[in-house]
Amino acid sequence: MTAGDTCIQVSDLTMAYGTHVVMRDLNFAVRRGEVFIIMGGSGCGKSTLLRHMIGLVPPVQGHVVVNGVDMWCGAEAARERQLRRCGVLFQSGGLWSSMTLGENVALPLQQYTTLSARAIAEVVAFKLALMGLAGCEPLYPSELSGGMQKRAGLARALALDPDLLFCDEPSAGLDPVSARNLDDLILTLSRSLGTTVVVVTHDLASIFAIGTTAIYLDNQTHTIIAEGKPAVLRDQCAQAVVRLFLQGGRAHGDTH
Amino acid sequence: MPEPDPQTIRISSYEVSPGATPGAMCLTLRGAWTQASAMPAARALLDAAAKPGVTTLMFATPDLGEWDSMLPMLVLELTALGAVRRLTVDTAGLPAGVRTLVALATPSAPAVKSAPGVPDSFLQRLGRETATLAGLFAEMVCFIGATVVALVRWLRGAARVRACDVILQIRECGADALPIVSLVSVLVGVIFAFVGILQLRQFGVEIYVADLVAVIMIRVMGAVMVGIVLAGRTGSAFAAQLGTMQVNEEIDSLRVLGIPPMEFLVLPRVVALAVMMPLLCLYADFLGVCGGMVVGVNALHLNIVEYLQRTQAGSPWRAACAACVAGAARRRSGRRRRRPWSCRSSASLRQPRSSRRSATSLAFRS
Repeated sequence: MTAGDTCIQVSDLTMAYGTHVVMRDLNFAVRRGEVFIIMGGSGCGKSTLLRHMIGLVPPVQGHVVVNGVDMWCGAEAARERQLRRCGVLFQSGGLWSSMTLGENVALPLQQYTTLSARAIAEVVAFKLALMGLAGCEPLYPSELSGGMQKRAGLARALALDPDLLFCDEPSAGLDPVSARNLDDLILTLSRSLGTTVVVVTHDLASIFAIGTTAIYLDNQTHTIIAEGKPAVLRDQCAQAVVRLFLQGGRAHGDTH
Repeated sequence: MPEPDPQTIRISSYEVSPGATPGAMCLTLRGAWTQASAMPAARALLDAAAKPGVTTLMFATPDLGEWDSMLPMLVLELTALGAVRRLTVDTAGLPAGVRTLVALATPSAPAVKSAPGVPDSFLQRLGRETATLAGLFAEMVCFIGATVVALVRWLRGAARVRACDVILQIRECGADALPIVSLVSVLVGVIFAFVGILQLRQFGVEIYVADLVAVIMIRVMGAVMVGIVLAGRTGSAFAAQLGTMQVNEEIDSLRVLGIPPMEFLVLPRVVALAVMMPLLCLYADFLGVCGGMVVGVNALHLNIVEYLQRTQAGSPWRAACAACVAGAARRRSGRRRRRPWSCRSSASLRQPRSSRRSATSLAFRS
């Protein structure tokens, strides 16, 4: 696993709901070990792009190749094997409401490993402790705050030690401190385990704190109009829209 | 500024006077212009102000009291109505807050008018609805097919079903349904016995009420009642659970983990219903007969043993089993509750073959 080689290759991707084209001609590559940010205004199709990359939605046109496996054209078995190496943190956590936190984190392990029940319980305790949720196994998702649900979702996404982590708006709906903590967690994971992270967000603090590469999906032209390091894009991007976005909607030097 | 009299600030009043410039008319607004105050209609104001030769409507608000969004709305309406009469509305005399709101609500570019919709003809609507119906039917068939595939995989031990889920569902759709099933079946038994006695008395054969209740409950009503109660109660509970899971991205989480929702969520529910339906049906039959017995024993002054003997003599116990299975076939999963069909056909397809045969045979017999 060398740093810098391609982990996800998206080529000529067109996404549409019925006849409504959301984005077209998307071409980008996510390199192994980086924190890749997908940003853009509300409703521009960020989450839709993520769902295409995970393989939940079939593309109208184009290909998504993850670790050399085409998510839609390849064999089903290869795709499933690939999915097992991915962890996904959904926008609302996506925790199964009928199960406790412990069962939520344990289910992927029960499905895909041959660990004993006791070993699974230990792994679950460890993953929850990593997220600062030690001892919360018997709680149900509805008993948790939004921030705890996000962290529990992350614990479940990490249950199988994925080498690719997708996060859909990890900091949405969290207070600044919790959001920052979650960002730090993601960054720590990426650095210590070498996990490749793809994050959909429009939270500026997150973008600058964790992003190594970012793409900007534009609502008007329905495609990617900028790609690069977030800080560089903010100061030097040729597209005024991107600069405005990354400067928080204010023209440079404007202090209001 | 002197405090205005509380009585007057609740009332909106206006006054029309010639404006400073030629062709201008000034509208002086006084008092409260809120939702609570009886405001004059825009058309009435305009009629009062738009004398011949007037081209501009101005405002003066020296004694304007409270105002809320009704005032900007009124100004916008005046502007729109005035445009038709070639009358310009000048908002300069209004308070700054009102001017800001009016400016915000005035579209910068004329709104794109959608093409005037020609109402669809009856045939067009009929065609479209039929096409939609065909799509829904295909969806339904796909769902049944997927359920059958999942069931086959389960029977071969390949499906990802957790036993605890099946047990939980059995409790939810079986044990938890007992109160409502009891209520309905006892009531049906009581009513049949009561009405039966009244009618049979005319022929002097009230004793046959025991047969009547037994035959009706066991052959038809037990199964029908349980089928309807479970379709309504359990079916809607399933729809609500699965719908919430879809919204909360729980189903996506399953897919991402490579766990098919058909196996993990649908199969436990289908299996639980298939197991519990016949049992609930037997229970309903029993309670219906008991309900009938309470009425029969009390109204006819029979003793219980006598009544039970009559019941046994008259009731088709062999048919009972078939009826239970028919009940199972009548229940319908809540997964596709919006679909207006599916009741018998879809459900019987989901049954093992033996029960399907009984269900069909019963359907033919009745």
